[in-house]
Amino acid sequence: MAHHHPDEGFLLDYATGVMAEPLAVVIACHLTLCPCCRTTVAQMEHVGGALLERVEGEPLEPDCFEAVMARIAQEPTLCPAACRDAATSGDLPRPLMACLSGCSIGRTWQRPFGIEMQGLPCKVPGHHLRLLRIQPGRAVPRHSHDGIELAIVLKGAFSDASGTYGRGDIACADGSVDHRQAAEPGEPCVCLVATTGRLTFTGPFGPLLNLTLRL
Amino acid sequence: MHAAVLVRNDPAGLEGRMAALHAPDAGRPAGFEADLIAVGRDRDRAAFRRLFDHFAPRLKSFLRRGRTNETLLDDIVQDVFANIWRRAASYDPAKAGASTWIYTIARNRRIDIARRARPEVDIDDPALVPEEADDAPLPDHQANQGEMGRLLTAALTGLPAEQSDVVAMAYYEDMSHSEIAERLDMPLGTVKSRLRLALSKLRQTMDGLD
Repeated sequence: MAHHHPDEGFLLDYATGVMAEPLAVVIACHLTLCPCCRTTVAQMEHVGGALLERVEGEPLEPDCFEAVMARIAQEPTLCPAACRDAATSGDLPRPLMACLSGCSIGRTWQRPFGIEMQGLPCKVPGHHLRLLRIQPGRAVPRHSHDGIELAIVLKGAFSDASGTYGRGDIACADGSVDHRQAAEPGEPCVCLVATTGRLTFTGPFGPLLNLTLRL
Repeated sequence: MHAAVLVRNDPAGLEGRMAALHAPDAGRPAGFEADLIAVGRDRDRAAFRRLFDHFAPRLKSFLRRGRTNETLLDDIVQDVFANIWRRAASYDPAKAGASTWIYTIARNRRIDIARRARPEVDIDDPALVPEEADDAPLPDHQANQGEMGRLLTAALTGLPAEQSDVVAMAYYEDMSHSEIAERLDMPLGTVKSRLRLALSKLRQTMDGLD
C-alpha cells in the first residue's frame, strides 16, 4: 500500500485528460498500485459527469443522429480484448509496460556514477521519462530542478530529506527542492521518473556533472 | 465510494441492478444507465436514440466551452457517439452513472484530438493493488449512481463562485491547474487550494453515499 500520494492537482489533471504523457504514465502507475487514489480519480470523473449533465444543451444539425448511425455502419467493430498485450510480468504496472514495448530494456542502460538509467521514448518537448535503478547504498547526486520531477518507486525503496519511499509511493519535487535520493539497504531501488525542464546538480561535483550529463 | 472496484461477472446481479434502475426513486426516471446496457448487450437503437437526444446537445455545448474548433463540434459529437455505440458493452453501471461514463468517452476523444496519449489503468493488470475486500460494492450500489448525480449537482450549485470558476475551467475548458493560474494571473498555490476546497466538498457528497 502506497503511503506517499500525488497532489490532488495532479490527479485532477489526469482525470480531466490535460496531463502530458510522461507525467501521466507515472500517475497511471501509481493508480495501479493505489486503490485510494483510484477512488479519488473516479470521483473526479463523477464530477465531470455531473457537469456534463448540468450544461444547457444546444441544437445539433438535423441529420446528426443519422450521420452517427452511418458512421457506425461503415466501421468494423473493434475487439478490445484482442488488442491487449497479454504477456506482462506482474511486477511492472501495465501503463509502464506500454511505454516499454518496442524498446530494448536491459541493453541500453547508461551507468553514470553507479546509477543505472534508461531513457524511455517521450514525444513531449521539454519532458523526459526515465527508469532509474539505484543499487543499495548508492544515491542520485544532489540536484535541483527548473521544472517538476514526479517519481514513483516500483521496487525497493529510497529516501531523501523528506522521507522514505517504497513501492507505489510518489515523490514530487520542484524548483524549491534540492535533494539526494539514496537507495535503502536490501534490493536495488527501481523508479520511474518524469521530469519537465532540466536537472541541475548542486553537490561538490555539480559543475562537472552538469557539463557531462546534461539531464 | 467504490467506483474503481473490480467488476464481478454476475448475470443475476445485473438483473437486480436493472430492476433497481427502473424502480421508482432509483436513478433518473429515463434510466440512461439501463439504456447504455441495452445498447451494449442488445444493440438497442431506440435506447441509443434516447441517449443521443439527451446527451448529444449537452456534449456539443460542453465541447464548445473547451478549446474545440467550432466547425468540428457536430463532427466530434458524432465521433463520441460512435465510440459510445462501440464501447457500450464495456459499460459497468457499478462503476459509473451514464453521464460519468459518457464524460470519460468525450474526454478521451478530446485527448485524441489534442494528439496526447493517455496511459490508462488496466483493471486486469496483475500488478494492480485491489481495494480492501471490506470496500466491495453492495449489490444495490448502482441505484446510488442517479442519487449521486443529483447530490453532486446540488453541491456544484452550492460552491462559492471563486471555487466553481476554477472547477469549470478545469473540466469545461480543458485547462491544467498551472494554465488556470496563468489565465487568472494567480499564484499556483491559490488555484490549487481553491480546487482542493471545491473537490473536498464534492467528494464529501459522494463519500456520504457509501
